[in-house]
Amino acid sequence: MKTVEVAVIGGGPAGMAAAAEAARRGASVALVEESATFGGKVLKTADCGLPLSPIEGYEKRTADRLLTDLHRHADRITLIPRHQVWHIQDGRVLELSPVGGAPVETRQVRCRRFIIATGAMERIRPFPGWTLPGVFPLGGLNSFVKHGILPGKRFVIAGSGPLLPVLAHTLIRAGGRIAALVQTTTHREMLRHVFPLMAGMDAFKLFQGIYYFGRMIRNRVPIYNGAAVSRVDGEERAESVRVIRLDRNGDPIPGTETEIDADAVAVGFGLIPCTDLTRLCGCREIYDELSGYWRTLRNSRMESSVDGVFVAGDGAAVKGYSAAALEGTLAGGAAALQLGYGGEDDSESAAVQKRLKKATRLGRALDQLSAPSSGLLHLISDETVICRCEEVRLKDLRQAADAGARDIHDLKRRTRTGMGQCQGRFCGQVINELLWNLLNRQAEDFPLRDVFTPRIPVKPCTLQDLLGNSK
Amino acid sequence: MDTADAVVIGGGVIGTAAAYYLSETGRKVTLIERNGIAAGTSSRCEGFILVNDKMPGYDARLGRLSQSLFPGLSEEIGFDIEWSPQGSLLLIESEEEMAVAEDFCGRLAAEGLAVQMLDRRRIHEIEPHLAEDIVGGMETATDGAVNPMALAQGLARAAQQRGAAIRTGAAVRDIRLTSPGKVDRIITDGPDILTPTVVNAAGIGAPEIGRMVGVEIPITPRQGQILVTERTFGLTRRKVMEFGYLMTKFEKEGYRRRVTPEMEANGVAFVLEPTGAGNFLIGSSRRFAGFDTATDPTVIRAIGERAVRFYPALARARLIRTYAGLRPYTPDHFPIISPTPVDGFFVAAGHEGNGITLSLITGKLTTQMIAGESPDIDLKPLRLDRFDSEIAHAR
Repeated sequence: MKTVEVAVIGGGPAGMAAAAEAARRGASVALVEESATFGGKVLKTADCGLPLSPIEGYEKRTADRLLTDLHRHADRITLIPRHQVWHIQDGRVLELSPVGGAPVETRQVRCRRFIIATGAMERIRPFPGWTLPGVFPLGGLNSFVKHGILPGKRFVIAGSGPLLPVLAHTLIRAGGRIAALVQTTTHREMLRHVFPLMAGMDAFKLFQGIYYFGRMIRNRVPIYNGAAVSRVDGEERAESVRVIRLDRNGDPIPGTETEIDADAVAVGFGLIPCTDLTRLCGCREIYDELSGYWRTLRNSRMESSVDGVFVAGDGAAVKGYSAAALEGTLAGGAAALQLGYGGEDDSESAAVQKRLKKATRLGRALDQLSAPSSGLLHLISDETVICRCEEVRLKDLRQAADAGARDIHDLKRRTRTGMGQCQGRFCGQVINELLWNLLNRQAEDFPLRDVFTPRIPVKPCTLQDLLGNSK
Repeated sequence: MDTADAVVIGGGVIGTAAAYYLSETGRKVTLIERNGIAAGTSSRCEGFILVNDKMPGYDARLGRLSQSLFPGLSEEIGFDIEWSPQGSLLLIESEEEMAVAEDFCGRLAAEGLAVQMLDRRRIHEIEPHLAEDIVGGMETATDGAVNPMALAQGLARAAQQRGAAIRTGAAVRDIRLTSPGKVDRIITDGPDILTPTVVNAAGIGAPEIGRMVGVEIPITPRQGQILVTERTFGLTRRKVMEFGYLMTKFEKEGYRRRVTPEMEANGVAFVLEPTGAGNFLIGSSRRFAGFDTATDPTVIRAIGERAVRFYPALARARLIRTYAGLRPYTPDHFPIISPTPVDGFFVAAGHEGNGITLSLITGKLTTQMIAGESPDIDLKPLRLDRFDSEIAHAR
């Protein structure tokens, strides 16, 4: 058992900043991270051998700065890479297990305050053909390319959010051909968000946006706005993609499909917070209709509804790495302050709050632009797999609803949806909406929006990882 | 206001079985469940249909009667309950245990059960992944398992097809009696139900229902935690448990296993169920923890450690979740299938860890009891009034 004052879960921008700030104030800190390196998903440096683009250069400098801050207080920070938290006991003891065969550093961390900074994951929207080989989530394909793997020749990039042009750009530089870039966002929506976008932008972000779209145009990438991938077909793997136009509500317009040849398709609709640990701890959350996900409630110091439990970064609400790092700083400072460290410097934290406000504006605008319309769910056919782990199809859910399933727990008991490897982390996002569609009832009869019961281990781990004497 | 010939309270395997058999007699049945079908203990358990863990005598006969109803049920109700009949295995750790087991096996065989002892060579032949030092086992050919959630769903649907009304998401608020002491109506969240007959199949909730009519029912929740592995390699196809499981279940005095204090304190005994879906369920634990259904690392580790002792390869299996269920425990481990001092108020509850196995016979016996037919087995050992002195004592 390792004992520290502040434990930070997640070594991305929020977690790194939180750990650095708590340590700077004088607290002893443990920073737990699943992968071998720190920096999170966004700031992980590409190792595909390509020279860094100006934007990647900026991101690398951001990551380097966070690392430098972390190392500056290295004497007070214990780094625990390649470990995951599978349970939090009594609100103060983290149970750890090694990831991917890593040697065991420590099995338990006892702390007085902890900061959850577990980041975001990709939002899944099933559609016919989404489980075919050759179909990727946006971020998944982005990781492949960053690691120097190009899993196709003709790409269709589809969905919504800021990762679309980023991925298209990376693909072009790596030698891929973009057969189409398909955005659900219409010009109308862009206009609606243009003011918060502009207000939140600094010169660099503005440059970033112009830079990416400039690249698209220069490379003559066919761009479809207000459209979505309605299905992917192929014998063994993706061969062709159908793109359908959307009306102003985001509902597909029948009879407007175009077929495009492609052997690799990436589809994504932005990110949603990883809420496994906040839910386990009982942190209150609300469903954010504009963003289309559950968001953890916090005060201005990033403390959740549970005393002493702080949540920073995209794991609470998706705003991007700039906001995440600022939230981390605030959380780290507040946790240290609760433990009696350091006279709080008001002007300093006010400056952070101010920068956070600006970053939040931009982050929230991009986030809300990413949220897919509920109309996209009408693209799902009876044979479409909803729960990949247990291979539950829409027709199975329909059957269960017809037989009387009245909430998502009932659906789970009847169909096994959410009982597999991922424990509903992916299918759980759309299961309420699908049930409502299937029940086809009046709004007042709808069962309330709900989430699957959190269970431990929070992420799968082997028995031998859990056993052995506590170290 | 609704009316029914009989109302079953509780939509677990016991309540749905009661509704299924009751509706067969032509009665107009309503099943009322405050949550969903199989939302309680029936979805937080294993799916064993066993006779190998029953005490020789009445217990074993009751178990076998119920078990014999399972193989044909999927066809009978037109719903796949995922009956898997691969037999069961009790694992024996030591020569001393072997002697106790041989005696136990002999007595079960005398009841006409399909049990046999396996020696060291034979058990390792049929279970190649077993820990080397296991000295033998007892095999029961008729044992199997079902998916308990599918069982309850299937029975509820079949009852519905026979005319029963299934009301889920509806709680029973009160039960009103006529004077003198006869069931009159059930007050619910929705419409009240006028009925002369009520079956209390509310499991761990049965005492609460009983109190509505002034009937004390000595059922206590006894928590059990279960580990679920991902779909994994074919470790075994049998339902396996350690012989010591029986001893912890029966709370046998003077019986000691070589286990850790954590295992002892939490009644941890190894149980393994390969499910139809390809996952393994690993149990078991027993403790009184009120209505708490949270799992905890101490018990999870103890169960895991015990499992690896019998199947070392399980160390590499990935856990995807754990859950805890609340067994409806009675002081003598027998269920209550019984009339009560209140005319028209019956109890079918308190099966502890035998609810899935005994579900069908409980439904059948409850129906025979209400219809005044002669029961398939003597109901005296299951009567509520066997606890009268204990209840009086507790007061």
